[in-house]
Amino acid sequence: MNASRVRTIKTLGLRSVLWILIVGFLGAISSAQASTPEQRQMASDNSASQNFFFGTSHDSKLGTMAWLFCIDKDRHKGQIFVAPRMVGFSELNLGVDGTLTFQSLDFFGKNYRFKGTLKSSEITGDMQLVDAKSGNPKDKWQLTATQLSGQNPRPGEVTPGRYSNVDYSTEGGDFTGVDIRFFSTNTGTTGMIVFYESYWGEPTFTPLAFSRVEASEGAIKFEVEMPNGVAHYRVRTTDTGGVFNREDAAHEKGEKGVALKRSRSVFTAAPGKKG
Amino acid sequence: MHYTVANNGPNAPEVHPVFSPETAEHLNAAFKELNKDGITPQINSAFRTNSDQAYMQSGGSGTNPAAKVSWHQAGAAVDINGTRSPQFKTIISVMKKNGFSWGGDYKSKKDPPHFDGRQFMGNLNQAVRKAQSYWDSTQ
Repeated sequence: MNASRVRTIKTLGLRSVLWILIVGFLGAISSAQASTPEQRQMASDNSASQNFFFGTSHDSKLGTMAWLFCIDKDRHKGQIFVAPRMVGFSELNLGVDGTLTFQSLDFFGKNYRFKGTLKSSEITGDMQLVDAKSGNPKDKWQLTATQLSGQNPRPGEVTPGRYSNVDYSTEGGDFTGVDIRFFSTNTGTTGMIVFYESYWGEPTFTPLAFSRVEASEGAIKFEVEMPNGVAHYRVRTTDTGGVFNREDAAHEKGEKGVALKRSRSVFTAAPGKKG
Repeated sequence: MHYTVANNGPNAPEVHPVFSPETAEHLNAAFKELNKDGITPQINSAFRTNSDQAYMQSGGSGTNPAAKVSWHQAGAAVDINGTRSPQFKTIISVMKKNGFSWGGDYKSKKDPPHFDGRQFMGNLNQAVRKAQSYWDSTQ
């Protein structure tokens, strides 16, 4: 009796394993047919973008600042892009009336605190920079942010992506390079640029928002508003990325521009890693 | 001797233009020379506390534990803005002439804004300890 039971269980076990293998094999084939690595990346980004918000605010000393943050309403968690990485929230509260408050974890003895509203995929409110030790406010910005759509770009728009040469020099102890990200929103292409190395006198570590993004054959042009005027940049696109240059700055003779690599994912933040 | 300090915005560590006495001496000479050429260098980063450097390191992909200590922590390094500006070649040449090593000469990952005093400073770890304890005593 006992032996028969054992045999039946063993047989069922073997059948189950076989079924799992067959279903898994068929699944793998159908998934390989249905999506290329690029499609899977785009699907992953589209899904991630549902929680991402891109915002801007004006700063008299820096120009138009860009803000990228992620809000997971269900799990009451979030992250904010504090160049060069995403920093988690220590708290997030979202009321039924749309009231939204969050606080980031500390970075360089500071943290961000936001108070505002989230209504119809739009966030508005005040972002405050606070000294972590004393709790005293150091700076404050009025912020407006839109949920990133994750949709495919319309004709003439820039495909979402990241152009970057950001790296960390362990010998010097510094970040170097520049990071440019194009996002898709319901109203068109937007994006941000972060200089980790000030090529022509730009502020470093501050995400700055683009305006007037223009995609033409072989080049993407955009403008960045800074306190001393509007800076004009261009990325000449290549097979693997682009060559970055500032159009309105004096250049050394023979200057060829900065070579950047392109990656599809715009949401990964760690420099020097594939993303 | 003239220089300006960059406004790097809220995400960067504060810029502390504080230097070890040896570095200050070399830097004074270099900046005076640059000023004579009509160049006012803009300092992007100088002295860093151990915790600021550690935070910076953790945001990167650096995996070499031996390089976790930077000359910035010894008050013996300075990062200068405008690495693609026409006058940066003059900055490199004047800084080198005054004893500084340039990050653009590194064999591994290059660091163009970076100049440090490794050639005249001696032991890095000792210099870091000295600079950090000086900094702590002023806080």
